[in-house]
Amino acid sequence: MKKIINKPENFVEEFMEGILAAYGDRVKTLDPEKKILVRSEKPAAGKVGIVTAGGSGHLPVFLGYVGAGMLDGCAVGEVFASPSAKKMEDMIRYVDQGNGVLCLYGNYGGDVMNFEMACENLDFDGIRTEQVLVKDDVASRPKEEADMRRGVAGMVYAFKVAGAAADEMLSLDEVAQTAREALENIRTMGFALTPCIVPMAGKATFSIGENDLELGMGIHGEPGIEVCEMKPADEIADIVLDKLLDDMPVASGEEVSVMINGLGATPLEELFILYRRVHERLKEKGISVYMPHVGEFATSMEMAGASITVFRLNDKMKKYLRKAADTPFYTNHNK
Amino acid sequence: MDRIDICLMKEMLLHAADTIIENEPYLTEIDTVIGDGDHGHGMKRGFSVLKKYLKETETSQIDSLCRETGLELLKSMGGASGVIFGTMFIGGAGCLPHGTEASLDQIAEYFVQGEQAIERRGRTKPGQKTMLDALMPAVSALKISAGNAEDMGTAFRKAAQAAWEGAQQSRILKGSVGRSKNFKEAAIGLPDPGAVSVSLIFKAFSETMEKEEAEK
Repeated sequence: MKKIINKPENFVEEFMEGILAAYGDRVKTLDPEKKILVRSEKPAAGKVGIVTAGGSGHLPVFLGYVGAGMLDGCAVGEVFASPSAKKMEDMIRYVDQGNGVLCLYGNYGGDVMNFEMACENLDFDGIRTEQVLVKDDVASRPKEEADMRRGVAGMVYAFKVAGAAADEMLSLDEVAQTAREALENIRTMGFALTPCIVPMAGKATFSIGENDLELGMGIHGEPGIEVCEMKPADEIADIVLDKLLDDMPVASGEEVSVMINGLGATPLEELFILYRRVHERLKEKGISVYMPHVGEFATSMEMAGASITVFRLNDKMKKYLRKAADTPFYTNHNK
Repeated sequence: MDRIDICLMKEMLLHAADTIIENEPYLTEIDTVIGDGDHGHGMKRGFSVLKKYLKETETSQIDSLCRETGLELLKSMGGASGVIFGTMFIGGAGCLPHGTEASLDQIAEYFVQGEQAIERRGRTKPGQKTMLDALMPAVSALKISAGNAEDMGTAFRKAAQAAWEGAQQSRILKGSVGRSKNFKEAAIGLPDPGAVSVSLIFKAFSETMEKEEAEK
């Protein structure tokens, strides 16, 4: 294992210290363990809070989206492991301004169980919460089992849209409904070229052959739908895009946003080579692209590979996508 | 012996904590193949915090002790394991008396309720290569022993044996929930790390009980 770390057991604590040192003017933590990250300023009175949570190892997901126009808080777990229900509970208590809190997060067992436990305790004290789970990864389950799919990079669009809806002072039900509506129109699929290494494990816990491409691999190395020989970028883009549009048909004349997301070790150049092809294919189909996102949005440590997300838009979603957002890790001013 | 008092309960939990901490390398080893290698570290973190709590607490109520045990695990471990192992100790705490000792009937019901709470929380049943594959047989054994009015030592010896066998039998299962589901057939042949942890906990309980009996 070759990593730029000190001690594996201090991995999370030390990157959190770095983030606080760099962006302490905009975010802060609420606890001595530095596992609850919130915006420095309390949410506006009456605004619905939006929080997320998840394991570390995916920056900018999850905590990178805490900031103006997006999330109010994020509970941070160990690498690839959910934070505890207690941290979520403390976070939600802090974020709530009386109008409730939306918990918007990826569909992973640990996160679901902890959030449910936290929300049951909060309900007892009269704090309203809604849970919306992100299940955008088409490769994780077939369409018939879409409800059991995992959440991946598409959640960033959901954070953006929900954040904008909350800033318009919509109610908790309305913000949750907006997030669900967005997610119904978001599909993602990834592929990996090399595995990633969890610092505490010290070595890769799965392998990908030297000349292989793992189609549909999850962001923790969950096996994909097919291992095949490495292919040219255009062929990969075609396979993934076809899969996405097969799962969620988009008609000619419609508009989508496209996210080409690097998994950690993929050069931006290669992401643009992918985007070039996706853009070309969509154009052929009469589908136009609004606000493309090309870069690293949801990574998997040093995994090489990428994911492609298609977000089918309507005027409302376009407006929410465009509304200003500015977090330490995300801005839409440049998109 | 037909009752567990608070001192013995504390000894059992302390020995369970030591056993988990000692076995971290083994748990890590199997989870590196079948999961993502973090189960051992998470368990060690939780049970180290628990050990510190047990050494410092002065509670004399057995239900509080058991509930606090679960809360310490829940707070410190995180992940799915934190909720699951926390729930194992919290879920049935209402079945224990608010006093200094508990009968085998009460202890058996405590663990049965804990197991059922995990099934509800995780929407899981035994047979899916999870910790329930060890916990379910263990709590069933306790329940049977309670029904037969066996003594505590015998009951926990049988429960530990049942948990161990359950963990071993999880080798032949393919994972369908939790992290091991991602390894499906590839997970066959290795026991579920969570089931091994349950088996270690009950083994520690039984050993403490045996030691206690030998001293009497």
